[in-house]
Amino acid sequence: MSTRSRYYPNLYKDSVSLMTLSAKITAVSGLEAASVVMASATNVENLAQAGLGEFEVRPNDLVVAVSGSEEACVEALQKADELLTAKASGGGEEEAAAHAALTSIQMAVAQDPAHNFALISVPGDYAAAEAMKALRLGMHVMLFSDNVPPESELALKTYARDHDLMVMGPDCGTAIVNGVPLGFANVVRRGPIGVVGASGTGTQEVTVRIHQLGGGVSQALGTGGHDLSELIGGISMLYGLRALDADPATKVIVLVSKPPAPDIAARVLAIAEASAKPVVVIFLGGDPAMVTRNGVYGASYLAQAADMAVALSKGGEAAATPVSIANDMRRTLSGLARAMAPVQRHVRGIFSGGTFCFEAQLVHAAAGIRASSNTPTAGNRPLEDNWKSQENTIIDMGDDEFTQGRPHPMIDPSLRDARLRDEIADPTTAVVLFDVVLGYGASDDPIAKLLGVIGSGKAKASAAGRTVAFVGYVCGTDQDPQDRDQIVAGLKSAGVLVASSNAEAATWSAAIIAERQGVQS
Amino acid sequence: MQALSVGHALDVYSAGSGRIHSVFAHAVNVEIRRDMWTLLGAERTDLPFGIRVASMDFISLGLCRGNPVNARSGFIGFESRTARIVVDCRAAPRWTPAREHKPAWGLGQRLDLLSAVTKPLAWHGSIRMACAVVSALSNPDALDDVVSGVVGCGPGCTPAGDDVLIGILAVLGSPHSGETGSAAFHSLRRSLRPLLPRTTDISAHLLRQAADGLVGRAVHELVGASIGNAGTSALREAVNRVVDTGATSGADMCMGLLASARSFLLDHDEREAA
Amino acid sequence: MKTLFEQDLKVVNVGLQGFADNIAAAGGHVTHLSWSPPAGADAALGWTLANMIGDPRIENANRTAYERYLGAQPRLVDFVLARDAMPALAERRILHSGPPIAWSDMCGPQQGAICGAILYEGWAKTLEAAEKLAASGGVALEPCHAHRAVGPMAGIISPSMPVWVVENTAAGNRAFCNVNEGLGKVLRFGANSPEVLDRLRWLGSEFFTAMQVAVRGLTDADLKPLMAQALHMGDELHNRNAAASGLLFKRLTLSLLGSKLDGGAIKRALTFVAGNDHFFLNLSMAACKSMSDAAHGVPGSSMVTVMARNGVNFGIRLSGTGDKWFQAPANPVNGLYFPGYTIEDAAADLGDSAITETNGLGGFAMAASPAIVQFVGGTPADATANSRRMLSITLGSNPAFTLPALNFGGTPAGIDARLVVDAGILPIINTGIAHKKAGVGQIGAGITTAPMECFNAAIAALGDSLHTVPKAAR
Repeated sequence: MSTRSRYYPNLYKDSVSLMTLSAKITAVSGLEAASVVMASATNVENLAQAGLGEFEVRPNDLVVAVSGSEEACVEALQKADELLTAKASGGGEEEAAAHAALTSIQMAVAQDPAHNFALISVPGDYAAAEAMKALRLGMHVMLFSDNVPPESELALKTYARDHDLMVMGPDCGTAIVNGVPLGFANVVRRGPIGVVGASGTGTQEVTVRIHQLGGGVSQALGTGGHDLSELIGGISMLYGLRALDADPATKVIVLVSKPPAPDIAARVLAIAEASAKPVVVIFLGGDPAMVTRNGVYGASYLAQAADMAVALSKGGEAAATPVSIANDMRRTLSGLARAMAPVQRHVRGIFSGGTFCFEAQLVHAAAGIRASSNTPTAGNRPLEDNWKSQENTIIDMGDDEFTQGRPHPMIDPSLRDARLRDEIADPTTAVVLFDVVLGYGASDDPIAKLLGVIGSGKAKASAAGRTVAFVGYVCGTDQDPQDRDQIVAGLKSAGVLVASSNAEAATWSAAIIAERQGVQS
Repeated sequence: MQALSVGHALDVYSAGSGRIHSVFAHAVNVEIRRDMWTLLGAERTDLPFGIRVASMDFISLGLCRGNPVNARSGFIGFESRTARIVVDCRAAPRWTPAREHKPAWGLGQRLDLLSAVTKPLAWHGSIRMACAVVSALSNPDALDDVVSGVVGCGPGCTPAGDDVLIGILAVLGSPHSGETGSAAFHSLRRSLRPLLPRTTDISAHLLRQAADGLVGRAVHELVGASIGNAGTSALREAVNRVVDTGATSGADMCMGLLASARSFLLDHDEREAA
Repeated sequence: MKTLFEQDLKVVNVGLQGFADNIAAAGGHVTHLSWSPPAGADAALGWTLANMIGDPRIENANRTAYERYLGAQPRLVDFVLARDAMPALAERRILHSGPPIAWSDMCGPQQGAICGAILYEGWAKTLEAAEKLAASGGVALEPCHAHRAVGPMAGIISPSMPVWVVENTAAGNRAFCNVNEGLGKVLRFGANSPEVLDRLRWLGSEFFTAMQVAVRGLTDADLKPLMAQALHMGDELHNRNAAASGLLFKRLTLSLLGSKLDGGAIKRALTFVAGNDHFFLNLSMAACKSMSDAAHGVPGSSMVTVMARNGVNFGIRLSGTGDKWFQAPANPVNGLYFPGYTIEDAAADLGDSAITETNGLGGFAMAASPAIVQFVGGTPADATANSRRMLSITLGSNPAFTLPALNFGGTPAGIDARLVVDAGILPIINTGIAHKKAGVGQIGAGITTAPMECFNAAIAALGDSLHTVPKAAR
């Protein structure tokens, strides 16, 4: 077995390009391993440990390292070289393009001072610096990047607050500003409901549901996942809340987050109460009663928050109705439960949205069903091996361990599909529970392979005398780039029970499991 | 394009957006953040909210009233239907008015020279308005009435009455006008404010700026040349720069300047002479 | 945020292209950057840099420095012996181009030139003795820039050499440069043969006398308008100086013809000037030195006031960091070699002539003089594009030096070190290439860039001096 490598000085490619290149090279037959990375200290060390060679390089250099048969290595490096040095149609054009290329935010502003917003998705090491520059150039910032040091987040948000600007993030995946979807976001009607969310998929479900109920969204602002921590103190959540309070186009406000630390929650709720506009607050996992006060309405699940907001926007009451199962669905679920083999007792929840995974665990827990997870809620257990389910398992496939050097499951569902195959094959599986997220940023065809996996898995299970229940939630609108109706129809015809909300899907799953485990709910 | 100089009152680093208010061959007015900024050709003298660029015909650039204008971190972008013009103001020299001028003998003669040159060029009603306002300054009850008869009165894009008031404010706002001058400045300012909606947009902005102590370089330097010991030719140059503004605008300003200078600055000079 | 809600959203996308594509597909306005990590991918330095953007102390300091640069009015006021212009040259001291460097590290041409100067001064009688003297430290060797002077190529100035004295009449500061000897075997390329020394002696005696009279008798000695005119005539005042040399020749001639000097001396002096199309280079350099010296010394300013090379290292200085040099090995020159020579023969980038680019001329004014792009296989459009590109890293453009190819816009001037590091765009320099062996001469020409490490180090130092990085505590 041979190892070969080549490096390209001062050639930068972003993470998506690197993964794409890697995938193309790995396809060469006879190749054992291939790595295309920027030569950061960590990467260089990893390459050495993986036996792919030692390098004398600088961080802005690009390294291609391969191992396999000698011929495969040579071919792979050749292919990499072609892809990396590919020129545009003519030398003159490329020169002109290079001359005109904008390489910094300042250059973009110099070209057009109307630029008022920066969307930043560079590696975490550099993201805070780009965000600070954008703020100092008078722009609001959405920081999609994660792995930004907390002190940097604090410095950014402090500066932003002092200059009447907002930092959405770090780790903010979703926003809709002035009707423009940013990051992973759905196409949603404009209207009078404003959303401030610390969770990407949480914001997605709320905005999608508002649209489905005929309502509309004025702005959906993100705060990033760490905003409501003690260190940051909710700077962005408070800023967003105040901004929507002052916005004439917003009549109802929705806040979406996990429960913040008590003093921060108190601060947020005080501002919410002081607002003349009704505010729906969902601190997912917290007690809505603690939230509810004058003009502030506590919700306990994502879809409910949307329902309440729409009702309030029409001038009605915000009733916190729990998820109920209609009679005929109850019969369907019961029927499925009774048809299962005795050993089938477990739920396997395979999620691409972290908040959907979280909410699903909460719904099951409320029904007395405990589970293991890679992101366990209070009372649930961590998995011993995140790649192997044990008993009830509800996992977030978008978490770091699954996305190292791989695209997020919302973009590329192959890892999710593979896991689903494993779960269906496991004899103890009673319910397979999953989400399909649509909108900008998500895969063009999220169920391409999934239907096949479900179909063949079901057939094999059937042959072995097992009936597996499939429950899913599709988070998307009729305006999204994907064809939502076709996706829902496709899932239904594959025998998937498609719920109208993530909480409803989890409720159906819990009902089946309760029957299977003889648990009183 | 590069800004040659920027007025001191203009904060080019804070972000804002606005619209073009009016376009002339040698100037473009922009309403932005409750202020009025003016893009000027190099041949024009600095204004507190002015941005001077190379001489050109702004009309031929295709800029129109209503076009969006965006300011961000030292760059100002003007968006017409066909093109975008970005003015780089980052490191452009800032025009800041000289703080104080050293008073010199002979203020009376200098004012006489000023009068001789500018009186024939002013609108015929300006002198009367100037005198009326200046006398009313010592009579607060009458001031409001007098001023209300002056604001927006007379011909021009900036009405003659407004120009007279600016000339008066330029003198009263000078540290050399003493305590009485300072008190008069504040009275005039109080009378003026509620009347601003009565005049043209552009003039209202200029009056508000003058009431905040902000006048253009030409007027400021003329006040300085009158007070200080600039030679005759320097004084003539300073006058000419003011008089070049508009049709009678500059001369009307001088009527205001003269009337207030005689009342509020000459005393000073005579006292020193004694 | 209220204002954001009332405006059209115009997004700058920094990172994954897919996000920009989606915004465009959704009907939004988006500009995608060709981004790569700045500051050599040093995250800590990148954070320091980020906190220096839009820092009012730096912006105000830059405005002051830039204003002084714009207002500078270089005038040729005198022509004297170096020792009379610079008191430090009363001792055994020789000035060289570029940042400080030890004798033993110097490149061939610079060592050869120093030996030649030692012989010229009479401090040694033979070449070997001269070398020994230099190596022993018997002669102080310092950068020209340490004494407000500049010199092209080896840039050697010794006490008995005549120097141009250019004064910035707006602020009073003076700058000095030696006389251009011509092409071929000359001291500045390291030649030190008897023929070179003879020429130096003539320059220091008969030519000196004549030229001093000429300079002192000039009726029009302002250099800025002359340089501005030359820019409209095909010069960029670093690698192309023919027009400016011609314009200067006119003025010198009229001055000399009005003097009482011997006709033969006048003829010899003028013949020498007329025969050298690069004669004005040394004046261009002195004028530029006086302009950027005016901008130097403003605390907190990130404006670059010196770029210079010594044949080994490239060094820069910032207005706000005083006398500190920020050095790195010089970048290679991309160019063409005269027949018979290759890149193996080339010396590294050498000379103080990058002071022209520091002031918006030379490579920055390439739009005025496209010929050099042919050396790198480019077109006149590329030359204009190069000039335009430099606008991204300067504080503005100089209205005194307009370029017809830029619609008579000013040449990009006042390099801001922050912008160089942020945009990853290096200042571009038009340069000749010297043979690495002393005395052979110019073997090619082309385009090179200042090394990024210099700007990284400068930003780190400026950032430190301003304590820009915010503390973590609330």
